[in-house]
Amino acid sequence: MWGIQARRPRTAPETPGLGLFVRAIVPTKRPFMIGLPQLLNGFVWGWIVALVALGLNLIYGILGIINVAHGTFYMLGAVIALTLLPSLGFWGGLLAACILVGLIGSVTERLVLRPLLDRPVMTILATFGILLALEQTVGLTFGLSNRAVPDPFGLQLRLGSVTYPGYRLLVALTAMLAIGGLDLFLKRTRWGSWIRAVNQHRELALVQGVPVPRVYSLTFALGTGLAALSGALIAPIVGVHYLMGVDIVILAFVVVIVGGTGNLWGTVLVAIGAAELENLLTLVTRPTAARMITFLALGLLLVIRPQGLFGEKQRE
Amino acid sequence: MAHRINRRQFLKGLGAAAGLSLMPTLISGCAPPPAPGASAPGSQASAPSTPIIIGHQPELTGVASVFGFWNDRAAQAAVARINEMGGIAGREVKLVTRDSGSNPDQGLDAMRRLILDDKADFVLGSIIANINKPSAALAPELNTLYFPSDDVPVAPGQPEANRFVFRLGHNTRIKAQAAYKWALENLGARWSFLTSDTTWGKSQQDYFSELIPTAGGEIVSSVVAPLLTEDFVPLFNQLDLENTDVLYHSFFGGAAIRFNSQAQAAGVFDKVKILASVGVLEGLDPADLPDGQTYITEFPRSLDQIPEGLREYNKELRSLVGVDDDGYEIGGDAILTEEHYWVPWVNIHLLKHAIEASGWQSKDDNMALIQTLEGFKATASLDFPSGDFVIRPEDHRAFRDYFIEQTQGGKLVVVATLPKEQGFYDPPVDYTAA
Repeated sequence: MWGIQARRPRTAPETPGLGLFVRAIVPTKRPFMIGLPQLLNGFVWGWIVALVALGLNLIYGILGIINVAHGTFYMLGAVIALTLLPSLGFWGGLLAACILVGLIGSVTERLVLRPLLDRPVMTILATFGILLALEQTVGLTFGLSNRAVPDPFGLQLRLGSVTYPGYRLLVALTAMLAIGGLDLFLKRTRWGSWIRAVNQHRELALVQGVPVPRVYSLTFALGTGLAALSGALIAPIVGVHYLMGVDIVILAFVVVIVGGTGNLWGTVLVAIGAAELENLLTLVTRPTAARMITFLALGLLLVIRPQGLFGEKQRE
Repeated sequence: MAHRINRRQFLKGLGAAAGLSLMPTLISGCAPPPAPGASAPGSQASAPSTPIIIGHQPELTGVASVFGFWNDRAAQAAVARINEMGGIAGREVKLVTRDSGSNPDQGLDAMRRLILDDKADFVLGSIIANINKPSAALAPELNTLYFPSDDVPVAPGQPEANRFVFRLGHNTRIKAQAAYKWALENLGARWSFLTSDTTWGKSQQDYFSELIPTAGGEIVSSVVAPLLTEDFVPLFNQLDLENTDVLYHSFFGGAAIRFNSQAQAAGVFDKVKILASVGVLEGLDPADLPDGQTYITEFPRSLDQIPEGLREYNKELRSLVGVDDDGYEIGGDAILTEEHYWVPWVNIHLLKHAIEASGWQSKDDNMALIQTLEGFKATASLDFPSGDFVIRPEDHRAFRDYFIEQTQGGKLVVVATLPKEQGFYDPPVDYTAA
């Protein structure tokens, strides 16, 4: 069923290469009629993407650990929340998923990543190993099928002739609170300042009495817990599957890098900008082309500012 | 200072991770076939006392693993049953399975290794077009009959259009042909399409778009979007749903979940009726869907929806494959892929009938076997629980009855049967003319 079925003969023959590209960006029939809902959706979806990227931003952007398994922790959050849904309800399952995945993250950091400190390439390989192990474990236990999660909110918003899902607004609001809360935590609390201190100079922080190993554990637990929060929250929008984290993590990495690693608000701005661009482009072109142009624009931004829009230049 | 990662290190790491991701492909390429009962390479099929080796190329891992899970089960159950009954023409049957990994390179490699290393006499193929199409093209060169689990559409001059390929699996064109009139009469005349950017999706839109105007219907709007679309809301806004009766979509797997969840949240189901090939529901739970959605199906998922004349056979098939009356794995969590799981079962039994009728003993007799299969008429039985079918000699396409099912109370319920004659179309090629 996937892929190729015989195409009917067309009046114009298929043209390869540039011809295909040109046809792909031919405007669709109903442009400019629904700009407001698209703008709103771009704004809301941007916050949702930023929420997915938040844990990654903490672990990769602030701690400097490339966690390839971020999407797997996101998936684990959704799977655990769905599994606990019948006994704990949606919100109970969501909370339990965050705590459980945070604990798994903490154990992972202690057993797998800490021995590999300062060996970034090995860290990538190790987290890739974690990704494979966790994914296959979930595939074998949870099953290979895609599952739906009922909308816990069920509210719909009328915007003229367009109906907008109310649950998305709740997720976006949660994203705002989580990102704002994390920002405050990093800037206003002792543990937050320790995390930043470890990021700036690990040895000096150690000399100053910062419990560096515990800071690593906490940060990783927090990052993976946030990944689980995003997975569990987004599950009613996108469903649950043991490979669901594979694609989303690519987008999350892109917005974190383009936003400037470690810059929470840079990530938010890039996520919203990318979502707005893609939403608005769908008004005038095909969605496939809209996605392509959006990624090209993000790539171009990296060429112009390799350190990211709001990142600081790194010395080689 | 804390060790930060520069871009060069990051890229090296990503490269290493990508290399690691290829390891399963390399490993599986080198590893012996995983299926129990796999034969030692080098068996000679020419002597009647040696086993007949059937190769299988399912998607045991990767994105299509839910299909491979059921196809593998059905193939193993079919071989076990046939061996219990004394094999094929008195010869034991051995099943050799190599995982396609849902990956075109690995899948084609599996095809070659099944034939060259494992000495498979026949190969049961993948469901993925990027795998079964090149595998079908390879079949004559390796003198091996190929039975894909999904259709491999044929066109004159294409290498996959050859006499070594027999096509019993799901076919988009037949479905459109068989169902469009019923859909126009029962669901409405104004259609919109939300099509996945796959050839499978686009072929459905193409076929229906050509047929609908011929019966008084009209296409109101259409959007083609990537299969991996996460956010469907902007796409719903792009369609003219206010003036649409029927929204036809072709997003399957996780995309079908996203489509349905988001369509429900955005009030789409209040405006239009949903129609799709049941291919979009494979491995998904109909309990997750609202009532009233309509699907064109090959084989009802629930036992009580199977036509009465086939129900006993179907019950037995379910028991042997390990699936309950409603399409859930017995003792597990897997959900049935009802459009595909029966295909390996039927193909293996088809081989039994054709080999015994033609006197096939080795690949030297392949042409006689092909001639026996061309025009083969199957009668409903446990060997052919999917019902009567006939293999058209010209293009090796099999035709069976189809069904219209609707979601009602968390399950799919048959509301109409589409006789196989309604799905007939002119054969695009004619092997018998050569």
